[in-house]
Amino acid sequence: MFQVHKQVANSSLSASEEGAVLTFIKRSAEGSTSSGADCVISMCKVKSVEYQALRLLVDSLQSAVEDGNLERKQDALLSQFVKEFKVWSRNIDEALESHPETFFIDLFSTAFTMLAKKSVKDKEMYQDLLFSDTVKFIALVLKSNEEKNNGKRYVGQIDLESQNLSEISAAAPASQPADEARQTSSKTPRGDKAS
Amino acid sequence: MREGNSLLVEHNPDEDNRVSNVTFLRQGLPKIFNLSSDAVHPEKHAFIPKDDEQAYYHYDTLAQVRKVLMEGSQVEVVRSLKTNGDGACVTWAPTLNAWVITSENVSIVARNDNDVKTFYPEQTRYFLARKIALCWFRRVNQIKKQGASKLDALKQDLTRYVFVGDFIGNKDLINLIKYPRETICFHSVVVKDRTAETAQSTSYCEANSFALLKRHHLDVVPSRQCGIYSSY
Repeated sequence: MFQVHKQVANSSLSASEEGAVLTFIKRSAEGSTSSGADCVISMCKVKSVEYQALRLLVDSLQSAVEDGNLERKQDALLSQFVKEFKVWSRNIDEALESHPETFFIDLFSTAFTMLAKKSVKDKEMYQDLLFSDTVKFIALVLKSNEEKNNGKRYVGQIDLESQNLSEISAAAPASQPADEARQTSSKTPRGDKAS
Repeated sequence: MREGNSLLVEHNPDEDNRVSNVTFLRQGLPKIFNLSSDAVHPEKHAFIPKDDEQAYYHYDTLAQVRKVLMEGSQVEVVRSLKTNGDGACVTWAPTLNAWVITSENVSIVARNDNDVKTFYPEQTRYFLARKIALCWFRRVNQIKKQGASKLDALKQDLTRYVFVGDFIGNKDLINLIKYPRETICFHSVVVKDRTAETAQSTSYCEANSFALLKRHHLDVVPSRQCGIYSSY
């Protein structure tokens, strides 16, 4: 179970999406004192670090834009993001090709700059995108972060498109989630580390 | 009940509209929590978290697992994909000869997409359920084209069960993952009704949910068995 947790937490957004749901099913064994038919006794979620980081980034910035005090709260917002992200970032295992914690903090900082420190016209455009097309907004944050930090710091890629819909089908047999296939068959790193 | 219940309350017009009958139209899944790595860590799992909320999540998720294993049963763990969408429940109400489509605890009762467009205006509390209902009826029409027997089989299963999934790929809804098409991606099957025997218990999905869902021409999340265990 610990290995499953680690694998899901460190999987990519496009492969594992939000993460996984684990379903615990009671199966009666020979000699069991319990009675009754097989049944689900518990369920839980395991979220991927990539998903949690982006969710936290979007929620925190949307809330600050709605409050109308984005420009004045840079330090407070960054501190809050780092504090809350610690809960998830301790699951990062770089041996599983995960992005380091600093990458997500850089993304937050880049997103804040785009929303609060650009020209009035650009700020309005990015703030509108943050609410109307979050996927596009994050894609622009990733691109801007790469332009800013490439060659200086770790710069990673996050694919925001699901790889799973083709295999999500009534006709499809029970299949191996895509992140496992990636981790067992592909060793392509998700980011480039600056030398 | 995280996703709530939908009740059909029948009134008798001959008796001052007194309630004559109440039945379940739908029962939702219970709230499920995020499992922290400490809860399954080889050395840390035995310690109770200091944070009350985390301690409750650990207890709620794993207490029954421990109990069942101590009683000598085995526990199978199935892992499925957690898609990024809005919760959607679909069921069939034979007494109304209509589908019941629910999201965010708002239900739509409709026979077809015309009913949805006629009785549930877009800019109302039905905003989300309406989108999901229209998506559902597109799928129902596809199934209908494959033959009446396929649709009848679906209605038969949904007379007893509620199919629960995520509504994904809609461009008007704020989500973090881009999908190439709009659909309801199903992950759970819940028994519709409650009885005196089950009234006190937590009703998770059916043990054979994925097999039930795959009988029909629906989008179903990928899943796989992690293993069957005899000890904690």
